[in-house]
Amino acid sequence: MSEIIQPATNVPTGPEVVQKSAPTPLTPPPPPEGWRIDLLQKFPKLKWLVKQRWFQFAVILPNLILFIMFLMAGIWGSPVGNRNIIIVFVWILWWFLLISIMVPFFSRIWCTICPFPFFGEWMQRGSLTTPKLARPGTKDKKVGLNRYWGLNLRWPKALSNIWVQDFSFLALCTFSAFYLTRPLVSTIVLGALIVVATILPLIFRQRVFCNYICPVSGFLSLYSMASMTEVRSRDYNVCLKCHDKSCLVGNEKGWGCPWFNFPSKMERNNYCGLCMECVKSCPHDNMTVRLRPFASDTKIKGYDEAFKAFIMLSLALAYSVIYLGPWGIFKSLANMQLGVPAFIEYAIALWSIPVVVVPGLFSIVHWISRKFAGGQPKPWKESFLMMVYPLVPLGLLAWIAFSLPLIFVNGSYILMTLSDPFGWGWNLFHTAHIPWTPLFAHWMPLVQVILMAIGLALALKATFKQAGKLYSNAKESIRFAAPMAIFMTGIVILFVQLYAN
Amino acid sequence: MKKNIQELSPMEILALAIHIEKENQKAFISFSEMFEGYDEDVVLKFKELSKEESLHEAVLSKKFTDLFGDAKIPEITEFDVEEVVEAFDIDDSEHLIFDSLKSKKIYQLALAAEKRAFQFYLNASQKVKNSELSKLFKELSELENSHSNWIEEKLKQIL
Ligand code: SF4
Ligand code: SF4
Ligand code: SF4
Repeated sequence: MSEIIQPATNVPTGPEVVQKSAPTPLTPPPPPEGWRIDLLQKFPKLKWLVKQRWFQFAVILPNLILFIMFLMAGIWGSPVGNRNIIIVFVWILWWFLLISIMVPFFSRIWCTICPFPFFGEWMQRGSLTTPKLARPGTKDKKVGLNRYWGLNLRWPKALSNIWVQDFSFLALCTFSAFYLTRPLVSTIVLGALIVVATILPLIFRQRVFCNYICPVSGFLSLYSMASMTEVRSRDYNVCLKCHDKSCLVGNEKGWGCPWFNFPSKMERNNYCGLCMECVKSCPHDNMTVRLRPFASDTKIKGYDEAFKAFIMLSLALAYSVIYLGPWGIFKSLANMQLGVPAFIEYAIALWSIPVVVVPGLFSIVHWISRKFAGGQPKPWKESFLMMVYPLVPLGLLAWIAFSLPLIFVNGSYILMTLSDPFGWGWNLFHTAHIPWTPLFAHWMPLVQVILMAIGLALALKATFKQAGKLYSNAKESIRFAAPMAIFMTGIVILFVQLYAN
Repeated sequence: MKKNIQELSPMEILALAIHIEKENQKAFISFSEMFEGYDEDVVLKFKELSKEESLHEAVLSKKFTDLFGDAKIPEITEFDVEEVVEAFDIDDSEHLIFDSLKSKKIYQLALAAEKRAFQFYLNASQKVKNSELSKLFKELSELENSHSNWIEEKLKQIL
């Protein structure tokens, strides 16, 4: 090293600048497309609220009490599905709110209030609200700076993906007719999930149940990409200067991200459970909650996520046939009313659609797209995953279209069970005996068709946009997108035929 | 009020450079702890980089003593200046979820950070008119360049 530096006496100590230079940028993440509204800046009371240590506990607690009541209703309440609150509130009201309102508008806000991980996380943290710090020089179990209890093991690498969620969801859906109509089975299924969600945090670090097991998580993760809410860092340069990385490692104000995200760098919603820990722990007030345009995240990262998209779209179609279609035979098959062999055939057919038929067709169309486009195609995996993305807004709209009739046709059961949650003959709010009144039944097909048309429009827009990212040549990109666009249109025609009839 | 780095005195510039090396050690240690139980090599790389930063800190501290004797190192952080000088950052928020961080990538990211720091000091040395300041920036850029070379050597060993 040359001795350029002169003794102190020769070195000027005041400002000596004659020409200012612009700060050198350090590859910030690409700026988000479209508008953003910083909700925590706009609504200081909301910011105050989510920064309170008791915030998440306060929103989970009422939900937990309700959930326990639902489980009890499943055991001791009426065995008649539409007379029992667990069936009506969980599978009709909750499902509708989740897929039609929470996910599209508020991302994974359900995960903020979900009672499933409550007991496990409480024991893992050894605290309900206040973050604990590991004591230096002790054998405290820790992740980052926070102290945890339990074995604190690492989740196996081979399972660090969402394949388990993909197939556990598919398995649950195969037996859906059992728990959608039988309160006791619902209690057993939900109870088993809560037991697993309680045990896993005692063995593994952070929210492994949510990240890798929870069957609901897979589609929340996928469809939260389309949501209009996001948690993000405000200014990437602040994060670059921040060496504490408290949003990741935690501090005395907040736990390190329980979902194992590095919040400062987050570019998509998939694995953010909106727990608000990073908002609390960031010492530079640099994490926030923003509103954004619909369908803003576009990156599908692996085949496990791609399969989630195939599974969800296929099941939306299959469920529409089974539960909304005019063919009673499918309902009987799903209910095992035609015997075990027939049920097995039904299950094989149900699995083969998302696991073989749709991915197979998609792969063929993708192959045709690449051939048709000509030019220099990007690697297969890259273009495949990019073109799966349009199935996200399409699938979400398909699920909303499927779920709408559930609430409008069966909505009166909500009022009935509200007055008589266990089906024991109570009439708490004088609504127990209101007649079953389907609402807007005649309008449903039209609304469903409109929803599918919106889904198609969003999917087509995304298809051409994604193709544009893969091919810089406009002609090639249009040729690449065309077969995909036809494929999406074909899928929507199937839905429309079904709903219109 | 934040300052442009070229508005700092040489003493402050060196203090800032020392601070950055110190803080980078902290960040590398944090990352190494977060990846504990993951790929062992990833953890080792973070620890190695943290150690390397401590050596850089020692070099700069010596320079400070050579220049300013027993003077107290001014308290200055990156948040006192407008620019980002040197910052290591992992490239994906979901590495811990998918166990997707490779040890080679860590070197590549560290190299990128060192190169940016080199470029930053070099630009500053060319833009500032005061010759003493220019020399100081130049020397800091050379130091960063030597860090880059060290990482490049490490990368070659992996390839
Ligand atoms: S991932 Fe599943 S268990 Fe976890 S908070 Fe969300 S819904 Fe609940
Ligand atoms: S703690 Fe705050 S400033 Fe630091 S990296 Fe995380 S979000 Fe950025
Ligand atoms: S800590 Fe932040 S990034 Fe992590 S899950 Fe909670 S809100 Fe999302």
